[in-house]
Amino acid sequence: MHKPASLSRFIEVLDAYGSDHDRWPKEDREQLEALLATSRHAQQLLKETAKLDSILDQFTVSDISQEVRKHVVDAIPFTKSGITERLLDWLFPEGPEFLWRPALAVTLPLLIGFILGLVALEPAEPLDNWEEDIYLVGVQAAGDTSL
Amino acid sequence: MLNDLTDEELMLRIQKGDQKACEELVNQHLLPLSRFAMRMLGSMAEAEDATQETFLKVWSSAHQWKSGKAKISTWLHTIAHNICIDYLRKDKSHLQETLTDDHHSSSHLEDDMHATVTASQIFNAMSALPESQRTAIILCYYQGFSNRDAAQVTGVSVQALESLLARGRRALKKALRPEREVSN
Repeated sequence: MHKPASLSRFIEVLDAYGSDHDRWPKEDREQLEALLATSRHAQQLLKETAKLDSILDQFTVSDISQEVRKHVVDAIPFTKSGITERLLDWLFPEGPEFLWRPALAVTLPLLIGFILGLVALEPAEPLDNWEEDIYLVGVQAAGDTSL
Repeated sequence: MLNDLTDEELMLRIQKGDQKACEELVNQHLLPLSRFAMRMLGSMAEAEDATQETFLKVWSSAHQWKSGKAKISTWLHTIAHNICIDYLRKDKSHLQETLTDDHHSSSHLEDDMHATVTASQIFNAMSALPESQRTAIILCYYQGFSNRDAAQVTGVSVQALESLLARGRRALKKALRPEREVSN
């Protein structure tokens, strides 16, 4: 048998969750039931609370039709969720913790451009001496044949 | 079979673009989500739209769901809750129209709900509650959510949720008491 809950906790739970034991917080339930088994005052409070519950129980709503279920499924753009859409979703998700993603998308091309620029601007290597010699011999030979 | 899979397994498949898994998720969660939206908005047409938007969002944002972080039903209700709040804020005249219509026998609310005498009175009393109290009551009382899950959807602590529930129920009791006394 569990130690009964205090009456103040019992009242708090009734005020918040109503008279149905199934709606009571799991961690409190057995202690509340232990109190209910022994306290007439608790039983009276439960009865009072049940009156409001019986009114709230009348707030029923119609169930959605099968036709609507079909509309819901048809409206989902299954074919559109391609790579582009997923990439965009990845780049621009909700929440501030993902701000680095668009920032990365902006800075990455700049960084790549900067690196490519550095590589392209490096001076070309001078020709080695033997390459230069071959070139000069070639020019000379061409001159000789033209004569 | 897909209907043997857990919600979590379905979501993992949806994240990989599995259309059938998404349809199965719709099958399993359409009713509770539509009831939630219906009680939040009071109109079947808007509830259907809000439910549809919820599943659209699930498909387009499936990659944002993280396994083990929250129950699927909690995650779905969080999305539906945000959409319902957008509806309520977009159309601030919504509440007034509903209340005004309700005085006539041809109220759309009466068409949408089971024809009980007090359903519309309860909806009016619910609508008069602050949105956070109404959401807390709908989640815990009607959707059968545990206090922890409801607290997660509403973004408050369990203690704060209990306070919202108690204040909401107290206001409902006060609002509905005259009707009870008249009927007695």
